[in-house]
Amino acid sequence: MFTRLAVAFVFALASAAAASEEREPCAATEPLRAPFFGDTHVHTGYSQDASTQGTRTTPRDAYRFARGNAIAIQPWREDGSSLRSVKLDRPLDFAVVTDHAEQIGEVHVCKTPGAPGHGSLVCMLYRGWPRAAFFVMNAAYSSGGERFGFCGENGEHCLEAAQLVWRDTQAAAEEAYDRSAACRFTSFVGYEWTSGVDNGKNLHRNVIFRNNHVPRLPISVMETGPNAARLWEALERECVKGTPGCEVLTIPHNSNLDGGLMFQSARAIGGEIDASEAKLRARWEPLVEVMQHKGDSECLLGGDTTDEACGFEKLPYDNFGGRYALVGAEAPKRSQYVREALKRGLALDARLGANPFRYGLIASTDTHLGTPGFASERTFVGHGGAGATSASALPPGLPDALEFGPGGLAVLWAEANTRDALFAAMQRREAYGTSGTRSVVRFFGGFELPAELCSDPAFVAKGYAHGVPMGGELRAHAAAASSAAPRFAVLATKDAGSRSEPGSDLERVQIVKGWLDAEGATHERVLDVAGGANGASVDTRTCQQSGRGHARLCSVWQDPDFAASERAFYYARVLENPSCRWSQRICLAKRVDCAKPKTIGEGLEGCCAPEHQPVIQERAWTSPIWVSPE
Amino acid sequence: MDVADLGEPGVRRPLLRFLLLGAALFALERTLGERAETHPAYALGASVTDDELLYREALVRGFHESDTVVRRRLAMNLAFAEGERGRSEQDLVREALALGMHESDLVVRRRLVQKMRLAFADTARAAEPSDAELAAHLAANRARWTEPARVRATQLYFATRERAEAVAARLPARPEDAHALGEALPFAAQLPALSHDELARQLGAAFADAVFALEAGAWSAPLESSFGVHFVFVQERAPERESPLAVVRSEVREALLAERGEAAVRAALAELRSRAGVTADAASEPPR
Repeated sequence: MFTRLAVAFVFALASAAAASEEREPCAATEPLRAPFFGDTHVHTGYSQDASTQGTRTTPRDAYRFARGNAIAIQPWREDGSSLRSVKLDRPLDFAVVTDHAEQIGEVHVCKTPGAPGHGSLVCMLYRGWPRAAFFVMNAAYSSGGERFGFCGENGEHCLEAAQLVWRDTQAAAEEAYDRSAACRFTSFVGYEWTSGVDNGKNLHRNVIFRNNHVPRLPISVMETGPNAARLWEALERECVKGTPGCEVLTIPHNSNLDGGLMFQSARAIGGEIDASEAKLRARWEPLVEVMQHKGDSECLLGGDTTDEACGFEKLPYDNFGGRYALVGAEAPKRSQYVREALKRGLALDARLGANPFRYGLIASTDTHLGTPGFASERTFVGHGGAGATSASALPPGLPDALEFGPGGLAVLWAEANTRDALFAAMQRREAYGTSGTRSVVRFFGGFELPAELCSDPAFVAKGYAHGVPMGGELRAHAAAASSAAPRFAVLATKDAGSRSEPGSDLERVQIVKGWLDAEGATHERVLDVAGGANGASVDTRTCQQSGRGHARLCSVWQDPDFAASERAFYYARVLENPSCRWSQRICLAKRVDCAKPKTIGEGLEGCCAPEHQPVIQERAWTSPIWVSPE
Repeated sequence: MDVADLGEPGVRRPLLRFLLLGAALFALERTLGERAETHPAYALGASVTDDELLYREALVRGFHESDTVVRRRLAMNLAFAEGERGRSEQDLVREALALGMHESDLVVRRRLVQKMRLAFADTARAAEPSDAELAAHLAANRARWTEPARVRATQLYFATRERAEAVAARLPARPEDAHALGEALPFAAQLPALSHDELARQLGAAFADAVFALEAGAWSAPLESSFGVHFVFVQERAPERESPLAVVRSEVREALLAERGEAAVRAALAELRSRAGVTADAASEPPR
């Protein structure tokens, strides 16, 4: 038996952040950190949009699924049984159920005869003219955050009504969290703050709490209005200051559907970001979701972006409205994409002394079926309800919109699979995202990194000793000589695969550099640093891959154009050999032959649409390392 | 579909507030004459299901009028049926309810059933489980709270078999002295104590099988992983062990409360059945 004391000692050494909970140390504690795969964006039947699409899973079901159990999903038969069940072939290490927050307490009290507060003036206003009451309630919350008198002296009646769902969400997370030394699974309490403007410009954030110390209710957009700065103020008030032990961060997502607003001011639509806002954002938002079910948000071709790999999983519209009406939506703009935000962050940092967009990168699914981590192209059943709420047979055709997909995964480098260790990884941005596969990527930067690191079995230990990991920051003054440029060491291994699904070989590793020049203009450059074109391909008639790639790629790269006076960021992107996209796999299984119109069955028209991309190049994006002048 | 814009920043303007105050007085006048809503009595046949009972109880409690999901669904249905634009959600919901749409829409019914189930299950939280009850629940569900066997090992990685075999004759007796012989991986040569699943996720399932079959205290023959070839020295093996209650108390408590919640739902259903005069045999629990 291992010596528990020794393990506990190592853990205490390894954990930079103080423990926020009592629990057994993990048997598998790795001071040099291990990659933990998870999903930070998960909806169940408790989300109104999921529920209206027939999703009946609960947060408990979602965590059971994440831990590797089979669960039932829609469509459902009349007797309540399901037509199918789904299961992950590799369980996740962690997950966060992030159902849309609902402000149901007040409404429940006003509409329930006999409930305390039911006969109040505001409730009478609500029943007679709810829209006006909505304005009044919102105005009151916006100005003071106090609940109405009819909620009781301390708001207890409304809280009680609204807490049913929130309490069950917390209980499910508590039950799923493994506090034994096995550390098999970590859950986080969370929710989605669902702000949108102009009928579909997305400003959504996932709110993730460090532990089980959380506010009595999720703070929704009903209390805050559409600007995220109000959310952060409310979280400061109700979590950080109002709930002992409460810590929280927020993760913006789907900037590809923001209509150009996500990376603008979070205080006022159309406003300027000032120094105080830049600091506020940097504090609350260490990560951004770069890819998910509804497409990729990394980069968009155009302008100085000539990087071909940016043509990946793109939506053809710039906000949610485009999905349904094509009215009020425009073509996507580069300003919506994370790479542009990272570049703009450098310019704002130079001007304001703080970078509001110092984002680490993760990906997730945004499943609306309660199926965290269900991100494989091979098993995609749709994430948005599969197009049917009830049926006696599975819906025909493609199970989701052609431009959507299974989404990605979030990976955190942490000492152990615990809430404290994973939350600290999120805060220091030692994180990366994948498009659903499980390649493992280390990325270090430093002025003192050894040039021969790739041939050194102590790659990881020396990476930490002589540099900073992904998400870190370097100061140019640290250079031994003023002309020295930093080195970046990247080491990636292919997805080890499962017994049923081998991983694809790697094609190449790239470094993406963005920088701000002396004139205040931003630039970008993408370089292959390991691997490259290898002739591998996939036969779209069979989905068989051919050609070899790499099981492992490594490179130590020194920037030949480095200027110590310029601000810059560097992140690594790992591309796999091409494979069949989910849609092509289904089109093949349904025996669609685009040359023979009779084979194009109901709902399969997308198989032969000109915009259909039958091939996908799976990938991983690391968090950047920033270099700034002193 | 995703949730649309809910923000209403304009209400903070003074003029708008004044108008709203007027609106409030107007609404108050209208509302004072409003009489309490009543629900029709339901005639229940012998074949009524649990879901039907839960649905009807949800109506009695007014959940169909208060639940935001139900309201959104009803408004959506009516707007779709009538093809009208510009009507408020409140208008649409009111009319949909008057038309009885909440009774015919499957999504609404299921949402209400779910909500009613949650409300009954929540009553189980009134009583805190005792230590003896938690211990009994843990003992009855041992498989769930047993920690897996673990292996602590050193692995030396080589991209090819040839490179591995070139080192085979130089492997030192102590694994701690061997770390400089391998090639770089994202993982250190000294692995922490890993379960089979954890090792499989890092280096592949076949590799984990092979490592768990090794005897401790000696170097292995070259073993293949998803990335290349490894020599492995197992330093320590730990058998699976039962988690003590003190360690998994919170998980056990939540699992027990969830079980009690399900029992509370069953008891509430029995009560509803008896109140409605339905025999227990006729009701069926839908599969979960």
